[in-house]
Amino acid sequence: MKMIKVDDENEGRLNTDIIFDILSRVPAKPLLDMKCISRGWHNIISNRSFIKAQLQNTQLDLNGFIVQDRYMISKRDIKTVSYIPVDSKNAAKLVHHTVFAFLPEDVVVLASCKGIVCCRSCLPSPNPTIYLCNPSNREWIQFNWSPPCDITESIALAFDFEPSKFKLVRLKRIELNNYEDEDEDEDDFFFTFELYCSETKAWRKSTEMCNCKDDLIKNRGIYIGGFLHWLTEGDQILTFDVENEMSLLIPVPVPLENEFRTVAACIGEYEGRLHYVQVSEQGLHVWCLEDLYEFKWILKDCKLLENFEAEYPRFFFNLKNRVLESEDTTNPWMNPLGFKDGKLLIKVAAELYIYDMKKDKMVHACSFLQLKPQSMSHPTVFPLSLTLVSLKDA
Amino acid sequence: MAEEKSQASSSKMLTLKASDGVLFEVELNIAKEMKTVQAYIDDCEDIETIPIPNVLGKHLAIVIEYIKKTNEEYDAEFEKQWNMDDLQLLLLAANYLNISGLQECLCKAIAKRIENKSPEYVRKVFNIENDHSPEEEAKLRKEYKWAFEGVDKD
Repeated sequence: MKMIKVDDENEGRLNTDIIFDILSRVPAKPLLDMKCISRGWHNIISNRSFIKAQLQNTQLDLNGFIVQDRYMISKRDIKTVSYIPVDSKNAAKLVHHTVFAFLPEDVVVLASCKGIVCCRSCLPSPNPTIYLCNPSNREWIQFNWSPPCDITESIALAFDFEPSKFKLVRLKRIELNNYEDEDEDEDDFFFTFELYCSETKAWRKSTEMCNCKDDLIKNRGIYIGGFLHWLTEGDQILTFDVENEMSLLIPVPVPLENEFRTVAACIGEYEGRLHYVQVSEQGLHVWCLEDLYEFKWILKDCKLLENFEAEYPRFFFNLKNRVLESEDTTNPWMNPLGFKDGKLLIKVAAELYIYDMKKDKMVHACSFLQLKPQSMSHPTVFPLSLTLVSLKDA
Repeated sequence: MAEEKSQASSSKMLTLKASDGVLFEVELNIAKEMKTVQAYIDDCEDIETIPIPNVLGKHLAIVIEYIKKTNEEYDAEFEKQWNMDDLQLLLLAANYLNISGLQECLCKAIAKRIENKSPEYVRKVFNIENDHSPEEEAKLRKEYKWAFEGVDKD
């Protein structure tokens, strides 16, 4: 490369300020790789004011999906955590199992928000702990997970890029005997909320409770624009306004048809809005929540099963009939598991695929066995983006 | 800043002299977009020829044209015409002359061109010596291998 020599000690090389400016416009994933270019570049990329500038100049890109199994009813946790990268140039799709190996113990992943992951000790544990970590730089902070530690409880992370300002929302499901109404023999189920605020460093029980007959499933603690969302087994999406501590139940765009429902649906964030993805014999439908309080959904994308079959005959032979015949409601033939930024992780029979909605392109991700499945239920999926954010600033 | 410069507002002309002696006559308001030149003028009011020792004539010509024509459309197409060497020299010029819009445009362009390239390529482009030890480098790469497709460690 010919650089014109100038009267300058850098001899035509760009100085550090300019390199800083250029690199602050590069997304996090290539920057990780660029750390190994030189010690000087490593220092720039690890620098706190650089990270701040880079966050302002770039957008988070979806890097992959964290996948973890849960037993439906148990006092023990499954320790295996799998990671499926979305951009795999390798023809042989590989799945990673040691992404969280830098933590001091095996964990259960609870939430993923803007590159930061919330997880907890596997139960049973002598010292139950909650971790907030960044897999990109292997940093973490930890908190006591105060008893009673419910193996089914969900902890969600409300994080807006500022490491010193975040909230955790601990969601528990409780049962209250409903003796008032004599006709009803049922117990009422409620969700309760407990909040941790990084600024006060304290937990506080919220007075808010949400009456919801359905339990949580699949996608937990999706944080969008100040609201947390959880998918339930029924027709509703549990939503929590973190700032105002108010909960609401948002009805899904298409009510699930029958009593023994096939929850072949998932939720996720795309372009700053909550999206609902459903698979039925009518095809794949992607809905966008245009107005949260008005419960207004708009259909963004739909594709017939016949078209998937025609375009990908090797993957989806006889797809429509299989979906129709699929009687196992806990394990539908074609099951959307996680969604983010237009990319859908979907399980069809014993294989996993990633469908890119923007490009209308389906690629094979891995076989279900590569996730080392240990339970009969479908796994919980958390999308992960990469960030350089340092939790040491928390 | 980005609109066509009005002739009426200042008809005073300045001469900029590039490092290879090439002379450019520009209107005062164009020259003022270069904050370095502005500072020079502020210091010595009566100056007519300003030396630009760090920038070649060919690059100064491009910079001046940029200032005259810059807008969203122009900026989007601007960087496509230059190879990586020229982009860097233009960036050095924009930095020296302190033209923030041009510097941002060029930094974005270079960032885009390097983000999908190997570390070896990037080192060559910026003429950087790798001062990591092989062990350090291997350790770094191992830490984030999972974020890229790669071998399953188990």
